[in-house]
Order: sequence, then structure tokens, then C-alpha cells
Amino acid sequence: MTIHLRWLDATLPTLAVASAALPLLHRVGVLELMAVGGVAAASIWSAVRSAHGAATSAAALAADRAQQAINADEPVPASCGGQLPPLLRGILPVWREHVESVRSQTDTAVGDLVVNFSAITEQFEAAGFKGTSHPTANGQDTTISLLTLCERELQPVIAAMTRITDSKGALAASVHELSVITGELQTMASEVAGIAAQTNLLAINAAIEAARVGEAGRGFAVIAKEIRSLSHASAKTANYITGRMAQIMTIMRSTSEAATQAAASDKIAIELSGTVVDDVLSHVRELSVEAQTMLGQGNVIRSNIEALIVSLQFQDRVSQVIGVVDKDMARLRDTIDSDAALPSADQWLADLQSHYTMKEQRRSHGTSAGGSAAAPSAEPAAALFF
Amino acid sequence: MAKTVLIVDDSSSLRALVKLSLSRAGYAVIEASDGKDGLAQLDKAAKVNLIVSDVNMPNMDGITFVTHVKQHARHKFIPVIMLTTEDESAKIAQAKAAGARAWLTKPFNPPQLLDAVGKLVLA
Repeated sequence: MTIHLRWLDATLPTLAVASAALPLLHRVGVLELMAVGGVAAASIWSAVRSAHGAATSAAALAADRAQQAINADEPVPASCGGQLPPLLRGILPVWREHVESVRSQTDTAVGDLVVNFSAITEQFEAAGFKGTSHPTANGQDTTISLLTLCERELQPVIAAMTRITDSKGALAASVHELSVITGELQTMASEVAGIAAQTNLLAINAAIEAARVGEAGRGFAVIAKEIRSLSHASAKTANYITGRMAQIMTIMRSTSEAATQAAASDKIAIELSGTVVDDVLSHVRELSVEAQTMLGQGNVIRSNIEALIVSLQFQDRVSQVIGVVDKDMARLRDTIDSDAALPSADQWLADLQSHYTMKEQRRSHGTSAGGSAAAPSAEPAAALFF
Repeated sequence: MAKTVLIVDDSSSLRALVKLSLSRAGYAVIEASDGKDGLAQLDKAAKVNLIVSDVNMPNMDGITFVTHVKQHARHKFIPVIMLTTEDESAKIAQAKAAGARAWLTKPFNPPQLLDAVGKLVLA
């Protein structure tokens, strides 16, 4: 039976190391959770931690107590050897239940944690903190592209409207200049009417003088009559021109006033439009800055989420460790039940070691044989493609 | 239409972590708890574009699962990524011989997983 104790002396440290791996749960990801998920995730985490505390300590305590009993009982009393197999038959199923409880509770709780964490992540992303590892083709955010588009499209519109207003101003100036020239023409028409009146007066005088001369002045009388007719026609045409010029002047004055008013109104409208466009661009610039800030924060959150996903995989690794220990306890129970001779501790440990899948299991195995403390591997390895 | 990925792992928390990583990148995800369940899910699913499978699982391990997938007329062209804590070269060689296309060791990094998934889904 001494071999039983030697075997346990060699094996129980491995179980203790496996149990000690569970407090890793307390170490990983709390800060990331607080940073990313806030109070909700932290409280879920707290629930996970407390749920596993009892089960973890039960498995660790059982291993510690067995180890202490073995250490205290050296050398082995003869009576103790016969009691050990029944003791182990009684204890091992309970240990296995505790270990399985730890594994299933951890798995369920971490699964729940991830589901809740997914919901929190979705809320962050819905709020705009998505972040991206894939920038647009030109390396800019959509909002910045919108700003560039606004500046490129809106500024030429304002410039075109300004040019139209300038053209209207030039038109008003031309109309004003035309009205000045028309006024001069009206004056000239009045002068022509005055000349016609004087010519008529002159023709009357010529007719009077021709009548006084008698028969010799008859020819002059005819000419004077024709000149009077021409002066009447000239006066009539001059008056007609003056009247039409007055009408034109009235129309041109109102046209000029309307053009001036339209140019003034357009100028005000364009100035207002320019102000509105500047305001819009200013808002878009502010949005762009905010979007850049949110993008940066989103990338921080994204990075934290990725780190948290790596950290939370501790459960799977712990489960692997516990699973191997659990199978080894089952093997011990089967071996005791079979009443066959127990292998040596070295043989048993060699078989146990053959079931390891991870580096930390091999390191833990080395630690129990006097090596350094085991540290979990949390660094993802590169993918291997076939 | 979103590409569908089947995750085969006995750890529900690990499945949740892989699902979180893939669904954030726009993939649809189906879950299975071991190799047997994985084969059943493949038969039920309309279309699976890629499989991410653990190695050590109860009922049917990952290597056996991949072997069955590669022998199946309808599923044999689906690329398989092994995602496992195993790091022994003998297991890696077995997976390669069974028809797996890539080997990723846990803990996985989400960008690394997405990179591998993206490469094999598009291949």
C-alpha cells in the first residue's frame, strides 16, 4: 500500500496545479470589461467569479487536504494502507463531481458572458463606435468624403450665382446709360421742333414780303408756302419723336429700376446662400471631427473586444486541463476497483503526460516535479495553412 | 448573401467567442457540440461555406469528423479550419492528411481567425 501513497504524492500536485489554474478566471479581462462593457458586463463578470469560487475552492481544498494527509503520515502506518482504496473509492467520485461542476459552470457562465457581451458590443456599434480596420479606398472617413463633396459642389454654385448677379448689375448699368442717351435724343427732337417753328415763322414773313412785291414775288410766295408745309411736317415729326421718346424714357426708367432692384435682391439672396453654405460646411466639418473621434474610439473598443475574446478563451484551456485530471481520477478509480497491482508513480505520470495537449499542461507537470510555476499561454499562434 | 460557417466545438463558451468574432464580420454561424452533431448540422443546413472545428471532443473527435466530411459527396469541398489547443505536430499531420486546410491554435486572435476564414471562403 505504500505504493498508493507514493503514487498519490506524485499525482496530487498535478491535480492541485490544475485547480490552481481556475483562479485565472479572476485575472483576465476585468479591466477590458470595465472599459468596454461598463457596469453591466462587470456585474456579469462578478457573477461568474462568485459562481466559480465555491466549486474551485472545493476541488483545490480536496487536493490540498489529501496532499497534507500524505505529507503528515510519512512514514505510512501499516493500518493506513488497507484503508486507502475504500477511502479513494468514496472520495474520487466526489472530486470528479466537483471538477465537472467547475468545468460546466465555467463553460455556461463564460458562454452567457459572451452572449451578453455581444449585445453590449452591438449597442456600441449601433451608437456609431464601430471602428474599422478597413479604411475607404482613399483612406478617408465617409464624413470627410461628404465634406470634400460639399465643398467641391456647393462653392461653384455660389460662384455661378455671383456671376449672374454681376451680369444683372451690368445690364442695369447699360439700361441706365441708354436712358441718358434717350434723354439727349428727346432734347434734340425738341430742338428740331423749335427749328421747325422758326422756319414756319420765317416762311410766313417770306410770304408777306412776296405779297408786297406783287406779281414779281409770286414765285417766292409759292416757295414760302412749301417751306411752311415742310416746317409743319418737321414740327409734327419732332413732336411725334418727342412723345415716343418720353414713352421710351418711362419704360427704360422702370426697367432700370427693376434691374437695379433685382440685382440688389439677388445680391442679398446670394450672400444669404453663401452664409448658409458656409454654415452647412462648418457643421459638416464638425461632424467630420466628431466622426473621426468616434472612429478612433471605435477602434479602441474594437481592439479591447479582440483582446477580451483572446482572454476569455482561458475557459477552454482550463477545461482541457480539468478534463485530463478528471479522466485521470476516473482511471485511478477503475484501477482501484480492478484490484490489480498499481503501476509505479513514474509509469502513471508517463501515461498522464501522454494525454496532455497544451504547453502549460506539460509545464505544470514539470512544476509538480520541482520545476518553475506554470503560466498559461495567452499569445495566439500564427495560422498554419496546408 | 452572408457566407455560412459551421463551428464544431464541445465548449459552448468557445463557440460563443468564435460566433461573436464571425458574426461581427458578417458571417452567418451554425453551431455543433461535437463531430457527430457537426455531421448532422451539415446534413440539415442548406449551404455551409466553411467549417471551424475543434480536435478533442466527445462522441466524435475533430480528425474523425474531417475524415467523414471529406468522404461525403456533398460536403467534401467545404474547407475546414482546425481550431484547437493541440500543438503536437503528429496531430497537425493527421489533420492535414484527413483533408483540413488550416490549423489555428487556441487562444485565437479574432483578426487572425477572420483572415484565415476569409482566405478559405474565397478560395
